[in-house]
Amino acid sequence: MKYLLLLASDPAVGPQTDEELAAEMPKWAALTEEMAKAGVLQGGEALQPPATATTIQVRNGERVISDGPYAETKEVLGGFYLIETDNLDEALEWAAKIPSAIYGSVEVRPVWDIPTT
Amino acid sequence: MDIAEVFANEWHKIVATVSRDFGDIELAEDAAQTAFSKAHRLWRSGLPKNPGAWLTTTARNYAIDTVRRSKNYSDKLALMRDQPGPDEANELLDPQLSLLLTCCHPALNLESQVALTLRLVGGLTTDQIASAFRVDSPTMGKRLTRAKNKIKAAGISVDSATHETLLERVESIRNVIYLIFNEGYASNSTNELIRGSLCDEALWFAQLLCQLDPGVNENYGLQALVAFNDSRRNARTDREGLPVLLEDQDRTLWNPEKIGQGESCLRHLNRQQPFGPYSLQSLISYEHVAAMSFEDTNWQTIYDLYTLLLTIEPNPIIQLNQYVALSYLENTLGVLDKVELLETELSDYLYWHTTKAQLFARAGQVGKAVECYQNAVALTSSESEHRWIRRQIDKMT
Repeated sequence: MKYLLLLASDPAVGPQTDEELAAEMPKWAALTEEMAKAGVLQGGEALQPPATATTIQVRNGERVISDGPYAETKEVLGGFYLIETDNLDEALEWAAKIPSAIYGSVEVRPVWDIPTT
Repeated sequence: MDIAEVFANEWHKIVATVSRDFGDIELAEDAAQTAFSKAHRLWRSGLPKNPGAWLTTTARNYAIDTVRRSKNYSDKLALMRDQPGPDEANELLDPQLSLLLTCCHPALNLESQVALTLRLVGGLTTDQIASAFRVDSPTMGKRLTRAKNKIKAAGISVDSATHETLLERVESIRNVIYLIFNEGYASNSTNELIRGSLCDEALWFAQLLCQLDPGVNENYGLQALVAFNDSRRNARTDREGLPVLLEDQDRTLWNPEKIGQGESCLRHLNRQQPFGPYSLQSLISYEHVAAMSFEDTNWQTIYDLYTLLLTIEPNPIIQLNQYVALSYLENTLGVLDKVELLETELSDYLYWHTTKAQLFARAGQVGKAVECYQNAVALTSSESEHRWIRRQIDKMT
């Protein structure tokens, strides 16, 4: 099954300065490599900050476009991993290893399995 | 043995086996349901020699037929587990334990864990569970359906739990059992479910866990705690249905069998292993059931056990309970000062106010006691709690 691991955290917590961010990079690289080696990695990116986001909703046939992210919470989406594992517990194992899991949240959402036939 | 007993003993085994073999919990539920319906019809003239085997075979046949008729036949075939090889068999858990772990998976919300466990392991019907939790049947039905859908959609495994899984998540199972007991204890209803009331069901689950996952202190602790607390069932309420305090209970009404069951669990506790919260709470509960009368209660031991409990579960309610024990060892007014210090955390907690009231009453300060009882009234909308509080006030004035 494919799972999207959505990485969210409050921008006020976690690494703040350039030095702190640089110190985190090896942890991310190591995890990505571990996932690739295990054959579970399908994709993953870091996202630009929420100020660059745009949200679109369609209501009554009208497109409603708004500035910023969709959710009114302190935590903002910072990135994602797309992985494929046998079951939820395995996906959760990988999610637990994500460096930002310590100071933020990881939402694990199954991807719709649309048959291609 | 009659079919009701067979059902009570075998339901969860059938659901677990089919769940393990077919990797599909909903199919397992339907298969078990069908097998028991058939049994009701065909066993009128008497039970077969091996009812468990009869039911398992019938359920599996139903499952195989269903899978054959389904559109994703080849996919389902792939899901059907071949007999595990020797390595795999050692790795994998008993299917009954697996089923418990699935029902109590933390990805499901607590209400769903409780409902699913009662349905798939306990074998209670949706109506029975609804009535036990005082919601209507359609609501409970939806809760169960959503839970089963989540298991499918999120890929919660039903058949691959290992010993490592158990170590990580057995706490969820204990938590669900305790919640079931708590609900039964609080509602004090006498629903006739499968094994009796909701408390009886909880005790059955606690026993089952000890059988499936033996040698674990917390499992025995939970069973003992449930057994000891439930042993007081007949003494806990008076003829008007109002609660009777421990100090006023007629101890001849306590159930000696349940006490014996709890004591037997305590003998299984292994002192070489750590004692977790359930183990400690069961030892505290034991001090009460072991005392011939309230006056004979060994408060020092209870106090010491609370000290241990607070090191692993430092919370204000447990602290309050320790202070109550302390009040029987030391000066009541001194303890009242300590209880006051818990105000920030517990000012919304009914029993903080009633405990203070009782302490003031024991210290002879009736006016302050009444004041505390009046503050307590404001915190509950329960009619029976109001009546009980008013009665305590009347007794003093």
